Parts: sequence; structure tokens; C-alpha cells
Amino acid sequence: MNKEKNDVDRIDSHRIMEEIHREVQRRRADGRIPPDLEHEITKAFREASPPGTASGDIPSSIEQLAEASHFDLTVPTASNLPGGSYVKRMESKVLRWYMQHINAQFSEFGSILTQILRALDNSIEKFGPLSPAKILTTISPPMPAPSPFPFSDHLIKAAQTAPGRILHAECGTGTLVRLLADAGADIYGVDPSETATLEGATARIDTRSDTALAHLDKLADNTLGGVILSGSIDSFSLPEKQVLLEMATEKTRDKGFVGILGNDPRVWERSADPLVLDLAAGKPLRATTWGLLFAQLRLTTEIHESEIDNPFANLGDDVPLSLRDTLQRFGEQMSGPRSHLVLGTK
Amino acid sequence: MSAIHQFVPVLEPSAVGTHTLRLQALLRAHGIPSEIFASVLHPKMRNNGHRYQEYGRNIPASPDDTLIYQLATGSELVDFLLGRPERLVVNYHNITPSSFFALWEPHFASGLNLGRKQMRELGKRAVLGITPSAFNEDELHGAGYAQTEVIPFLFDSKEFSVNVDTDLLAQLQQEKTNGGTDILFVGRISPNKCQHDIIAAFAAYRRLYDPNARLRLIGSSSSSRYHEALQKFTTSLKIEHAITFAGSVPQSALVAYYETADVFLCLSEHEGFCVPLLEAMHHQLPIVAYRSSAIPETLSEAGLLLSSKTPVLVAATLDRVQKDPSLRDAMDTAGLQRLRNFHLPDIHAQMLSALERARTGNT
Repeated sequence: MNKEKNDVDRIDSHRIMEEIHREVQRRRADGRIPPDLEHEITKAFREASPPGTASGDIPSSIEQLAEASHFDLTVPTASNLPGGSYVKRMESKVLRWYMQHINAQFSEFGSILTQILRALDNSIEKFGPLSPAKILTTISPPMPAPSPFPFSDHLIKAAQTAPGRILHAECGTGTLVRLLADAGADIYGVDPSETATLEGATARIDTRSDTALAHLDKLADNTLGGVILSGSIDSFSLPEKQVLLEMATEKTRDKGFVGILGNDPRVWERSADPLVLDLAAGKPLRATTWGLLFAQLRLTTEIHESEIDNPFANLGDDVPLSLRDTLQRFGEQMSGPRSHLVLGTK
Repeated sequence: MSAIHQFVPVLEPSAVGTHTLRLQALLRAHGIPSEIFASVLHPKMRNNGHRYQEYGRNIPASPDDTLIYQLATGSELVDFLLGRPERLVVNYHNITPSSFFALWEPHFASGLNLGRKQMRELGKRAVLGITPSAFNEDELHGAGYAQTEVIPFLFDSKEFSVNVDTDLLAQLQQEKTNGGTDILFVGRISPNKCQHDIIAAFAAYRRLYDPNARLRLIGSSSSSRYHEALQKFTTSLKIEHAITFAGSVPQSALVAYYETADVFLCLSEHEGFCVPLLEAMHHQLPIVAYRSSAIPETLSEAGLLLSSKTPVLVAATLDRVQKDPSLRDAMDTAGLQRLRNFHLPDIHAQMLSALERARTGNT
């Protein structure tokens, strides 16, 4: 292939694709694209697929394995050749004892394998380590979602260069989705609360009812331009946080981003009930700890923190000035920021 | 003159089968004795090849022979080749990663895993690895091949100069009179080719832009379970009347489908080259394709490459292509220009030169 021949008349595909992206955003915004259209289509394929393929339904797959591990020894003996059917019947009779022996062994193997998988599935169900919903129904520390506004510039910048659609998991009523959509990003949100997502859909932003983990699980790898995780992720246990972060990274395309919008643990510790502090399955992490988890996934990380949450910041004039000054400096040293945004680029 | 023979697991009417026959014709046209050996000979190609066991028995073998193995899946044939003393060249077409099939057709996935393993074994013996794309070449390097060369697929546009199936053409043209865009994809029904994404995008396109659109999916099935799921999927979306699963079709019918299509849509996630892109360029069809594996390399800038398969985005792209005449014209021209990079005489010369070097030990 010579150089000259490679000089194809260029189509300005970058500009055209940008225009198409903007057209999609306009249509989403003005309601010409129904918010749940893609969800409906994806769901239809999952339902049309056999268990264990696109659906990821473990119990059905185990039952299918159990059924498949037994051979039907009644072989077809019809034939177009004269005498062919007779020969086939004789062959099947002669080989039957041999096949039965093999079948018995294979069925036993299948049966043991099925039992092991059922036991494993039951264990996972019992402990439920990957089920955020379960954790939340046990001890759910009060964890208000941090405001995205202190980080809006960083989020908009990341969203505008994202190589594809952005997902905001645990989006609530869609405040951040709206903020970034208004800034030109192609974004949608999911939240476990149907009321919250309905509110979002009414405001003509693409919000759907789903948990972060379940939704990410349905997506193919490398499909999103970015994932923002916020809300109850702070209350997940550390293994859950790690699983969610890994999944978000896997679903994100190269040069895409993963963002954690979280509360600082010191704010939570000061505000939560001692009983909750002791019994909570998970608690917020410091931004630097998230940074460490990001680094393990080879994400290029940047950390942004909100203003310092100083409990002595608003002392009244009734406190002597020198004491006020000392307390405020002490407060600055003892306190941390209220919230943080940790951004990792793939 | 010493012979250059080819070995292929299955000689059948497929991209690999066609390539094998074309290479044999090329070698013979240059006076080089060349036979094709296979584990399985498709009934339609029984006269084009021999069972591989015949090499060295009914058909004489010589230490000066060069043996080309057409690698696309696992095969018992590899053990036979590894035990032979002749020079070995591997023509690598790509092996679909087994993960695409693991959940749909586990038995098929094991054949693909075997193919990957054999690819590494062959790399220890092969004097040269030939492959149609740089994407594949990277895989060859990863598998330990020291000498490699990228030589595009032997694409012969003259094969589309056959008489078109006039009955089918008339039927497809009749359907067009009712309006609606004709979207085409050519390729095996296979999880890695992601026909489910095409159907999803098509459903969104009909819903948002063109309720009369039709989708033609041409190609035999590599997975009956995946194929059945696609059919159920179309039924549940209530668009089964708008989708044709044509299966494998003769060349005359393929020409009819290409001639009546408005846009070629490929959302495949794994291709070692993707010959249908060249076919679409030849028929001056605008191409919309997902940016994956070797597709950006084959398509270059002759079509629109998508970074996301979101149904709504794909649908909007199809609508733009369909409604923007200047873009269609530009894509047609770019396609024809791109096709010049696959000029058959040039590729013939490149292939002969590489094989000559392999034969004389000058790789």
C-alpha cells in the first residue's frame, strides 16, 4: 500500500459525529427520545436470550447445566438407504451398554457439579456481600449525597471530553445529570428510588430506576465515556466499593473517566449516631484512600476537595478574639473537607 | 519447481475458503504446483481439495515444499503439520476470542481456545506469518512469531460482476417502492458480530426516524442459540416483519442485496479484517461501523466510525447518513478511493514476493 493511495478524500467524521451527538442530546432534552427507550430494547434482548447468556441469571444457568448433563440414548435410526435403519438399530443396541456406562459417569459428574454450584449460589445469597440493597436495609448510616456544585467546573471539564455517554449512578432526582446535560454532556442517570427517577424523567432528563451495581452489570465493557458514583456508595463495605469501582472502570472506554463524589469520613463521624458508627457495614473513605484504589486500577487520578469543614468557623463575638483564633486554627487542623471529588482517567 | 500447498481445517464457501482458492489460482497462474488439503471438505468444494492425509501418500511430498496453513480455528490438522519437515507459513485470519462464545456455544469456544494454543505452537515452527491487518499482526507478535507481513485479503471485485438474481432484485426493489431505508449487514450470525446491537439500533431507528425501514442480515449461523435469541428479540420488539435473516446466499443474491441497500451497518466487536466493508465500498454504500478490532484499519476514513453502540446514537447516525446527500456522496467517493488500496494485482505481487522469500529462506 503506498502513501499516495492512502490519501482518501477526508470526511470530517469528527465534526459530523459531534453534530450527531448534539442532535441526540437535543432530542433527549425535548422528549423526542423517550427516556426508557434504550432500557426497553436492552431488556427485550435479555429476556429473549437463554439463561446464562445475556441474562446472567445464575440459578437458571445451574438448572440448565443439570438438564444438559444427562444424555438421551435414544438415537435416531431413520435412514434413506435400504437396510440403513436396521443397521443403525443394531448399532445402537450393541453400543447401548457402553453408552449407558459413559452416561452414568457423566450424569454423576454433572450432578456433583450442579450441587456445588447450588451450594455456592446459596452461600452468596446468604451472605449477600455484593448486594448494596441488603446492606442498606440493615444499618444505613445517614449519608446525604454531597453537593456536586463545589466540583462543577471539574465535572463539566471531564464530561465535555468524555469519549461516549456518561452514567451517573445513584443520581437521585438528577441534579448533576441536569447540570452536565445543560453543559452539553451526553449523560443519563440511574437511582434505586423510583420516585427520584420519576421526578428526573418528568424534568425531561434521562433517569432510570436501577441500582448502580445491577445497571453496570448489564452493560458491555468499554461502552461508557464516563461513570460518576455518588450517593450510598459511601455506605458500602470496602469490598463492595472495590467491586463497584472495578466494574465502573471496566465499562468505561479508554480515555474515559471514573469519578467518586463522596463525603469526607470525619464529617460523617461527627454527625452520625454512635450505634450507627459501630454497626455500619461501610463508611466513607478519605479522598486519598480512593486515590489509592484508583491507582490500583491504573487510573490517572486527580483529587479535589471542598472547603474545610471547621466546627469553630462561626464562633460568635462573645468568644474572646484570641481564644476564637486559637480554636479556629485548632479546628482547621482537626477537621477535614466536607466532601471530595476523585477523578480517575483510564 | 517446488510446490506451495495450502492446508485449511474446513474448505467451505466462506471468507477463508474463498481466500484459499484465490491463492491457489494465483500460485498456479505463476506455474507453482499448488494443492489444497483439508480435514473437512464441504460438498460444494469436494473437487477443489483433498483430505490432508493424502499429502505424502497419493500426492507426493518433498522437503522443498512450502506448506501454508490457513489459521482461523483449532484443528487436528495442526498436529499433522507440526510433525512434518517442510517449511511452514501461517496465514492468520484471526481467531475470535472464545469469550464471545463461552456462554452461547461452549463446545465451539473450546475449539477457539485450541486454535489460540495451536497458534503459539505453530509460531515456533513457522518461517513467516502472513495476515491481512496490523491488528492481527500484533496478535502474531504476541504469540511469538518472529517474521510477519501484513498482506490484505485477496479481494476480487470482479466476482460481483456476476449476473444478479433478477427475481430477488425485483422483489427488493418492489419493497422499496413502499418507502423506508434498507439497512444491510453481511457476516455470520455470531455473538462477536453483535447482530443484537444492530437489531437494537434498528428498532430505535424505526421508532425515532423511519417507521418503514427494513434490515437485511445476510450470513449463515455460527450459533443456533444466538440466532434463536435474535429471532425472539425481533418478535418481542414487534419488528420481525421488517427484518430478513437471509442466511448464506449465492453471489447473485448478495449482489441484489448490496444493490438495493441504502447503508451498511457493522457493529461487530471483533474482526480480523472484515471483507464485507470492501464489498460495501465496491457497491458505493455508505458505511457506519463500530470502532473495534481491525475495523478502523480496514475502513480508514471511508465511513463513519462510532465510539459507542448506544441504539439512539446509532439510529441518529443512520438518519444523518440517509438525509444528508452531500455526506452520502463524500462517503461513496471515499469508499471507492479506499478500495484502491486493495488493488488485486498489487496484493498478488506482495503475496508472491513474501512466499518467494519464505521459500528461499530470505524472510
